[in-house]
Amino acid sequence: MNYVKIFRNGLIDENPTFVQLLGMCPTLAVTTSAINGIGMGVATTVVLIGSNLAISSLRKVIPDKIRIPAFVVIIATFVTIIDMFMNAYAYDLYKALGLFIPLIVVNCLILGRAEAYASKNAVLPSMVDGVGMGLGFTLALTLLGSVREILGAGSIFGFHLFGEAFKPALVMILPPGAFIILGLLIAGINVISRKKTV
Amino acid sequence: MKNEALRLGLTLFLITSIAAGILAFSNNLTADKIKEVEEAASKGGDVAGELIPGGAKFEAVESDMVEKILSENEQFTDAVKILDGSDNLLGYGIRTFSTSKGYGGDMELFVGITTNHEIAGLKILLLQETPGLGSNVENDSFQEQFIGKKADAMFSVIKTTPEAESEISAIAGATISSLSFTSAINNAVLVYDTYFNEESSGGLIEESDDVNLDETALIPRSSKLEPAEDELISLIASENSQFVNLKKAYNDSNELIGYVIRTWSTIEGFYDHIELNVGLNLNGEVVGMTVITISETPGLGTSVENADFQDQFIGKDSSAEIKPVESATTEDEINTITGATLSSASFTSAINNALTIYRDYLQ
Amino acid sequence: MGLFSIFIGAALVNNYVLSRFLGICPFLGVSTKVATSLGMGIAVTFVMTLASIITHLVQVAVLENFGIEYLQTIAFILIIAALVQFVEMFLKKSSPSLYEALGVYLPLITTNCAVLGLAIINVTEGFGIIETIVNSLGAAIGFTIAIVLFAGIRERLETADVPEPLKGFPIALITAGLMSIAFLGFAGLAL
Repeated sequence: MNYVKIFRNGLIDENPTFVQLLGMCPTLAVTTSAINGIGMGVATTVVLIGSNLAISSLRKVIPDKIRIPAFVVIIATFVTIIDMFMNAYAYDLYKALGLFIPLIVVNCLILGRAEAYASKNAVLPSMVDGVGMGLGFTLALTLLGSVREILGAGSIFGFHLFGEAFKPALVMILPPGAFIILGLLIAGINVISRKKTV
Repeated sequence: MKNEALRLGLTLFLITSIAAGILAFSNNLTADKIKEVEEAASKGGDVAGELIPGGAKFEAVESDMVEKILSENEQFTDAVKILDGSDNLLGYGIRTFSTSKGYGGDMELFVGITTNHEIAGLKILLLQETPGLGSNVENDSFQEQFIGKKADAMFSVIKTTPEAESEISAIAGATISSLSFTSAINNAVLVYDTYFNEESSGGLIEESDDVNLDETALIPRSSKLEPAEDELISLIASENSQFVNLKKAYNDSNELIGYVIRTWSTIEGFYDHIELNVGLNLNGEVVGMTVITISETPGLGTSVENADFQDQFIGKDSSAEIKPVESATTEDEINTITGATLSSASFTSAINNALTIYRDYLQ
Repeated sequence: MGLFSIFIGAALVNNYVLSRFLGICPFLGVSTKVATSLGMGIAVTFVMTLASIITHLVQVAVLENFGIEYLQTIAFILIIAALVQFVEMFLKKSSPSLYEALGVYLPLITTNCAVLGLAIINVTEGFGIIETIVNSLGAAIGFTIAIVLFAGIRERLETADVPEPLKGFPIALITAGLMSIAFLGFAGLAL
């Protein structure tokens, strides 16, 4: 089993955000800063690894006809656990991510991987897939969050980069900025991948 | 067929029950810590120090007092005592929502006021303003304007350089957020002054001689003002939420010749409520008025301070509610200022409230 | 808050798609034709309103009553999934053409974060049952407005000369960004 290949697939080749365009809602909503991007990415990754693990372990036991509701219940369980633990041990991040923590349950990335991979493969490969996809997602969110934070607030991870004179483009951390920056990033990646194939 | 559906349903039910069980277990593990963390966010020892330097812990205020304030002040949330490391009372922490909405909604502040009637510190508990604009009320540069000031007068927000102690400079481009923040501070000050300041007479004291002189000017031939009885003031305050204070006016021969009623408007102006001092004679007729707090548009709404607008009210009594209209024809109507309808209506509502108070309590 | 201001708030000022970022997946996925978008909007309106009412009742009568609020995520998502199943069966019988047109996007309403997001928002805002209904209608109509407008623009974009790297999603996202700027104009609309 080529675990490196599985890992790389999630990270780059089938990157959830830039290639598969899954999980758009949290991608746009929470990337107002780099730290929020990482936080959401890690939370989603933990849920993804957990649900892939559980679903893969139970794949021969769950009846096919009710597999989607069963997957949803399992994912919802992990999401609730993450929600509780963040509330208790990562309070500031919990408040920053707000509504989008419970909304991890409807992140089509997680249900997508459960259906496409974890329900059909063994436990260890499924976990690696979770790690790869999760990290790919985290990378994308951190990148988007960083760009928006630098342009919209003049800082990165809270560190101010420019002096007083720099007036950031406020729109970047407001909703329009999310759409536009993500659009430009995907276009940029299209250019790079086109250059690679030619 | 039916058997299969039943079997599938039961399997799903089983999975859900196991999930619920896991979550109950998880809840048990984390519930206490969650409670701790959420309490600390608003009541931890560090917070006490943020509200009043030297503060180390909170102590509860008598619950009847808290109940009383809750029933009389809509935006008030909680009040606690702030003690230092040796259990000495340093002051009070007043938790309140804003009385006027911010850009994105109400805000909630926790204000520390010392026993010397000074605002020593504050903490924002809820803020929903635009990041980079209204959220700048979080900046020290804005909040500093309140720290160290006496909690004995309401603050007003202006857009130019502040000249008086009670004037606050708004954040450029975030007037509404600045007003909302200030309204929360004002409410905390009002609560402190009304319920925790033993030296005040149940209204807002700002007994500097200048103001006294101004107030006697409100009632012709009056030479001094004295606060009305505590019970009367408390009664009016408990039944009329815009009422602030009541003073009696006496002439040189020590005869009662009128009243000065200090009240907020019942209708909001363009930006915020207006606060007036209204002078009435013993017949309940308006004989004078001055504006104490106003946040309206300079040059437009603030024209309610002009003599030609205010003169319309002289002589009016509580027999009929004064109506602000475009073109007054009857006795109970007054002309609004062109382009400042809301400010005019707000001002008028304050006069009406003063007249109502006269009618209900002083006749 | 007045009911009217809740409604306008949910539909325009805090538009669920363009300000709150809920329902982005169907917003980007279904909005290639105006007719399909309208159908999607109607289906979502139906599911959102019903889901909000049921989840509100479950929250109050079951979760809060028994102190098991931590089961909210599981309970809400199961309710939504079941509701979508019913809507699917209903549409299949009553309007097969719409059912065909929506295709795979219909079951995807389950993972539409707007539905779950709305249910949770109704609870955190502390709305009563009437306010819940008004808020849900506002949110759903706002979603429909956004998706239909967007589809209209995208239909035009089909025939426009878009640079290669921007074709498809990038130009769609940038367009959505411009729409979002337009909707920012509603901010401060206090009623």
